[in-house]
Formats: sequence, C-alpha cells, structure tokens
Amino acid sequence: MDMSSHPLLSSIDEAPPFPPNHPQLRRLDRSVVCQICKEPFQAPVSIGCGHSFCSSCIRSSLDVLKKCPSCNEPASEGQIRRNRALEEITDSWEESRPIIYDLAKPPPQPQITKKRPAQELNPKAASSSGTKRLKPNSSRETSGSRSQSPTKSRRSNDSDHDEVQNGEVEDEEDDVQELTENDEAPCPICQSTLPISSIPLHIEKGCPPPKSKLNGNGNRKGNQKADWKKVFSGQSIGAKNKDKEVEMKRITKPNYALATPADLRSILSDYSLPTTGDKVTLISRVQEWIILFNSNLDTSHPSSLSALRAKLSDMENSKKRDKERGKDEMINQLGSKDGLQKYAKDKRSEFERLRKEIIERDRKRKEQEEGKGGGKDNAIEVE
Amino acid sequence: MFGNNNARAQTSTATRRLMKEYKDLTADPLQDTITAGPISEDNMLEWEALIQGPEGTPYEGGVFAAKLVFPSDYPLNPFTITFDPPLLHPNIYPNGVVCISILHPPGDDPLHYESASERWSPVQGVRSVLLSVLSMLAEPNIESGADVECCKLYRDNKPEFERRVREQVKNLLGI
Repeated sequence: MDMSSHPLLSSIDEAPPFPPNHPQLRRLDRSVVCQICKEPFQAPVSIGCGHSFCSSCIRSSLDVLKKCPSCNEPASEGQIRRNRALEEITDSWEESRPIIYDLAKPPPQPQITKKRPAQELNPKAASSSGTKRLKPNSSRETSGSRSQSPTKSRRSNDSDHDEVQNGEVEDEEDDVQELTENDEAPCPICQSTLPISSIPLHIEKGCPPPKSKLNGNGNRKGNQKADWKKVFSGQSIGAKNKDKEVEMKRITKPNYALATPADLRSILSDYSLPTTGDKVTLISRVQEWIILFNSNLDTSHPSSLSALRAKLSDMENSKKRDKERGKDEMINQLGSKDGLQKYAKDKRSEFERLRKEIIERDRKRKEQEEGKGGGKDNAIEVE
Repeated sequence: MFGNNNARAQTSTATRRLMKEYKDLTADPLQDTITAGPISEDNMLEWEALIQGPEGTPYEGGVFAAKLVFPSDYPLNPFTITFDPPLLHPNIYPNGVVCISILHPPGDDPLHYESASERWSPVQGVRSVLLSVLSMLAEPNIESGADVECCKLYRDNKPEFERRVREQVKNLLGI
C-alpha cells in the first residue's frame, strides 16, 4: 500500500523538511512545534513545570487530565501563562524559514548547465548563477529560465534596478512623454493624484481634495448615515452591539455537573452561539467555545469573534463526521464492560430520544388498537 | 503555515494530527520492523500496521498485522491496537486487543506509574506506542497481564510458551 501520494497528505500545505545534512535546522524546526498538535505553536503558553504548548491544545488536554502531557507533573489551568517570547520566536521562524530553506538547499545550477550545453558556451552563465546564489528568494523556475538566457535575464535584472531608481525620480521626464490626457498624475502642488486634464482647473481652485477622495468621504458619510438610521430604527444593530458587549475576558468554566441546559444556553446566547441540542451537545459546545475563546486571548493575532464562531461550527461538524466514520471503534468498545458503560454514557441523549420515540409509538399503537377494537393482530402488523 | 486556519478548520484536530504523524512516519520510518498507515484515504481514524517479530524472541521471523483505531478526540485519548489474527502473548487479550500501560486512557492509573513515558498523554503518538509494542513483544509484562492463561504458561513453563508461539508464527506464515 503506497500512501506517499495520499491526497490527504498533499492537502497539508506544509513546508518540506530540511535536508538531513542539516540536523541543527531540523532541530530548530522541531523546537517551535507544539508537542500536542505537532504543528507550529499558535498562541503558545507555558504551565507550571515550564513546558509550553498551544493555548487551545493544553486547555483541552487539561480538561481531560490535570497533568502536564510531557512530564506528568500535576498542572492546572490557573498555571497557564502567555509565552510571548515563544510566540515571537515561532512567528519570526515561520517568516524566515523559507529563506533559510533556500539557503540550506544544495545549489542546483551545475546540473542545469550540464543539461543545456548551449549555456556552457556562454561565459555569462556562471555569473548569473553566482547572482542566483546570492538571491535566496528566487525560486527554481525563475532560475531555470534565467540560466536559459542569461543575457536577457541580466537585462531584466537591470531594468528592475532602473525601476527602483525610477521610483524616486519618476515624475520628472519619462511620464510626461508617455501619459495622455486621460491618465492620472500627481498635482505638482498638493501631490494628490488626479486626471491630467483636470490639473489646471484643480490648481486654479486652490487645490481642493480630489474628487475620488471626496467620493470616499461621501460614501463614508453615507454609511454612517445608514448606520445611524439602523441605530434609530433599531434594526440589525443588535448583532453588532452584541459583539461589542462581549467582554474580552476569560470565561470561567461552569460546573457542568450542576449546570442546567438553561444555564448552558444562556452562556451560549451571551456569545451569540446556537443553543440547539441536548445537554450533552450543549456541554461540549460550551467546552469547545471556552477553549477557543480563552486561547484566543493568549495570542497577539487574535481572531474575530465571528471567525471563532465559524471555527466552532466547523469543529462540531468535522467531529460529527469523524464519529460517524469511527463506527468500528464503537464495535470494539462494546467488547469490554468499561467500553459498554462509556458507550452508554456517550449515547445517553440518543437513548433518551429512542426511548421517547418508542413510548410515543406504543401510545399510538394503543390508540389504534382501541379504535379498531377487535382487529388486534392486524393493527400490530400494520404498525 | 500560520495562514492556513481554513485548512485547519475543515479537517478535525484528530485527522490533522494523524496526517501529520503519518507524514512523519513516511519521512522517517520506524526502524525497518514496522510499517503503519491509514487503511483508506477517506478515513484517517483507522490504520493498519505490520510488525515484524523482534529478533531473539519466539516471535522472530513472524510478520503480524494489527489494526489501529483512533477515537474522534485523539490525541486527548489513546487509540487501540488489535492484532488480527490474535497473537499469543501475556499482554494481548485472546481477542487480539493489546493491553499496555501507554494505551490506557488518561485518568485511571491503577498501577501508579510515575513516568510519563509509560502513560498515555497527548504528546504520545503512533510512533511511541508502536515502539512500546515492540518492546512488549520482547519483554512480556506478566504483572499486568491480559491473557491470564498465557501469563500462567509464561511464568510456569516458558519453554512450552515459546514453543506454542513459534508454532503460531509458523501457522501465520503458512509453513
């Protein structure tokens, strides 16, 4: 079974590992990875023993067992502290990783030049490959095309240079030649961009802000007006207000054993979340939300509340999918006594639903039997 | 890797983590005595593993198939390993389920293991567990046995135990 071309695997958009001749870089790469999700830290936090994890990972782990997953030391959520240095390190490593990856890659030029003998005649091929090595950002494809026609690439490199220089002196001579009346240009006095034909009038008027900007302002005012209208008419601003009302403070966990479904629903509605489902569903939704919400406070790139809500619903759906897939596990589970109890506990809500359905069915059957009087057997068969 | 919140959301935590582990196992294989991977493409929660009997044990020469089943809240809870067909071993139930401390769900710690490496925790994974299975095959732990009959046999009549295991290995290989 060859799984190396597994579609799921290729669906992970993940940077390739460093070559084995760089064990230090591999080690560095591993060190910014959370040991629970095996992915780069997101909102890293540390606990009492000094081990660090993603905030959401350790929060969900501590929900199951109040111990450090790495060293088994007793741990609790109260110990969780943001690890800002680690977050900075992870972020900056993610940013510099591609650069270092390119630097660590063995230079591929010699093979390319051998494949294309024409270049060997060209003395400039060597120099172009030299510049390539200095430029870690250039990808393989561009390097290929570059060595194909080194002189051309040179020219384009030079023109790159020119463009950079142009950026400073741009509006002096070149533009005047190329531009037509319909093009835009900066006003020589106030530097705001407007159509060339309107510049004289614009200067005569004493440089009022250009129309496009006015439009922008106008639009904004329009929006503001609309917003206020909404406020006064009381429509749809409710949702927005709710977002503002949400206090960006860690949520304290309710006592799930004591909480009534109504308690849970009120927590969920405080954060504009769906309040459907039985107590088990509600509890798991509240739990997931608290983990998402609280860990979102442990990062310097927090997600918006609506993004968090979307994430919660995605999580719920994907978990449901996984549960449906994991039917075999269920069969295994039913083999042992403990497993049977756990299954019964997990599926209590479903059992309850089935029980009600059966009671309902019985009731209906009785009604029918009473209605039909003598035709008892028939009634059951019809059912 | 940080910008892929969407991809992360579409697949569950369990599936993502398992994909990651599988990728890791293919990139850096577990010695050459174990291969493991998902059975079908659309379900990452079921894997199959082929384990070679360790040298110097009665299991030597055999190749044993095992099924790995992961819970939907993996890695918070451990997975199960079932040898199919069942293997004669003090720590394997007669139905093939492997019973080792690293696979016990967190919370119940009947033997009070001190070391985290002997217990399930989310930092453990397929790799560490399969390594434990290898060492379990080499050194049965009859203090927390699963197959009581087999434990007794192992303790009282080791040569007979080894003979039966070898016989089973031969049968499995069809010799």
